[in-house]
Amino acid sequence: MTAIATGARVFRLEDSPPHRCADASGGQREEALEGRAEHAAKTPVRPALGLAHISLTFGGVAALREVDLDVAEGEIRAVIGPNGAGKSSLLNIVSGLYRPDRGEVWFGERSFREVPTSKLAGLGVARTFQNLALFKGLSVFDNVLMGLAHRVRAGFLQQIVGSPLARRIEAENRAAAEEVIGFLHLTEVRDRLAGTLPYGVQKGVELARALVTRPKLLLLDEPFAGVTLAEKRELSQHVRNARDSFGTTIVLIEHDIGVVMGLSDRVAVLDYGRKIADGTPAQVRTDPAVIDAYLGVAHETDTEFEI
Amino acid sequence: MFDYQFLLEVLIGGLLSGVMYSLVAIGFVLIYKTSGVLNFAQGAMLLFAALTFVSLVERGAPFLAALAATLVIMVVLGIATERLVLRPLVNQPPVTLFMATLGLSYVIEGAAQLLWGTQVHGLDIGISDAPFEVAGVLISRFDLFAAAVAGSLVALFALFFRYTRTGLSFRAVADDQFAALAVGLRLPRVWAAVWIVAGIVALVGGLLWGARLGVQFSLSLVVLKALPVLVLGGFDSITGAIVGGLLVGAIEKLAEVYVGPLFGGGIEAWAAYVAALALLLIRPSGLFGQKLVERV
Repeated sequence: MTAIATGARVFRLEDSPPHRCADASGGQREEALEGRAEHAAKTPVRPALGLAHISLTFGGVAALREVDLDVAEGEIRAVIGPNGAGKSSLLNIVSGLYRPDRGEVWFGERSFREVPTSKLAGLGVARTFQNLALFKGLSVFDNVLMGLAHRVRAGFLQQIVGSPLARRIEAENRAAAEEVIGFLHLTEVRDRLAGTLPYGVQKGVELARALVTRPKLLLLDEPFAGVTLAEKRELSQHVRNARDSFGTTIVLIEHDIGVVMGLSDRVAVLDYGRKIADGTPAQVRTDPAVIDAYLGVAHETDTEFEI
Repeated sequence: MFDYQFLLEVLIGGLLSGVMYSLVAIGFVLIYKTSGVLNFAQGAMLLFAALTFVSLVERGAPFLAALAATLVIMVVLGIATERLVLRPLVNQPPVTLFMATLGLSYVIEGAAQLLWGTQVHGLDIGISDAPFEVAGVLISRFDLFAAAVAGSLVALFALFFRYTRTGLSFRAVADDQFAALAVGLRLPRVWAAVWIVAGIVALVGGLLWGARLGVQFSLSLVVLKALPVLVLGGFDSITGAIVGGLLVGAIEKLAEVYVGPLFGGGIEAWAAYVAALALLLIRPSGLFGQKLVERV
């Protein structure tokens, strides 16, 4: 709860902590409230995100081989690995851009062979992109507001006329955007065009746009790539605050192990498409397979920590 | 001695007629900005709107009813275009899309011909073309009216883009389609909306151009007039379309009056193209167009 001290308003989700536990399996609340209570009693709670036996090949190249991954509710989960290890492929499968040859993806209790990209937002999944997917010509505020684009419910005519429903939704959306902008300390750049901001700040804007939907699951694709050390610290603090305040489950793909080790609850390591280690940062750091495959025996790649 | 009064008159006449070009060009820009399609069918849509309106009026429909009916038809046309032409061709190269709109323009013209016949119609929207005098300069009443209509339309658009959610979606899609997809914006819906808006622009343009030239099939050729406007103003800027239109109007008239005699007259029809060509050599993306910077 200390996260509130960031100066942002108290968030609604936080007012009702039981919500997080009750809704642990994500999605489908209306469909099976009763049935699930029994179900949950019998079986262990489904992870917020689960990957089961995922394999993916491009032509003759196996990008992913039999990868399993489970992400617990409210966890910050990192997937690391050298270039070409299959990290991005994994994320693209989760967001439905690739269809795995084998295996399935679980969001709470729903499993997918091929994730329907268009329904992701509805499932409570948001993501950011390695190379940013911001509207460079729009203001920070408009960018964040666009995070709620899929939620437009009032029809076009209602917007023009300004019907009560349209106005209420609009007001709610704007309030949500303002809140997240305050939360991520972007108030000062609120009206600036996103494209004119430093790269690290743009990453923050993209994070804000993802968070404005209050996602259950947030996928971050190399959130720390190409930002300065100071920005890295700030961003990782934001990521942690997001989890602490919104209860968002976070999966991050990262190259830079230094930040990841400090931030994540659990880390999975990929190498040549296989998962070679999985555990707490401390476990992974001392895992011989990881040291061999990723960290390098002769410390050539030590710079990875510094960058 | 140089007649400044006359220069002013020519200039104002040119600028006012340029507004009409802007009106056509704006339809192009809207679609180009949001979907990257150079919509050659804009002229056919303009013709179709004008022809539908004038035919309804000739069949005894009151002015406003005919206007409303034509509006509805243009909306349906816009939605149908997105469904039947653009959506199946999504992700195709720009040339394919351009060819599709070229085909579309002939389909629309054909449909117009089938529905309303081929004769030329006069269109009277109740504004006389009689000039009036302001400080010794003659100004066409009709041109002034057209400029006012176009001006209010542009102002409306500006408000719409600034203050409505759909407007924001337009700006977002125009800014970055990939990002728009990433936030879950329904691109087909935005495209349908933008074709509808382009249809409305075509209706307004069609009525003004139809009133000026008579509603006939050569009306669809105003697209060719819009091209130098777009080259001058940039394909992706509404401001550019407005300024470009004004420039083309002014250049045409000034060239005709002051340069024309050197060539024995008749250069009004192509002076704008020469200016556009010259500008292309200096600023390939137009005066207001976005410079394409490709990172390698």
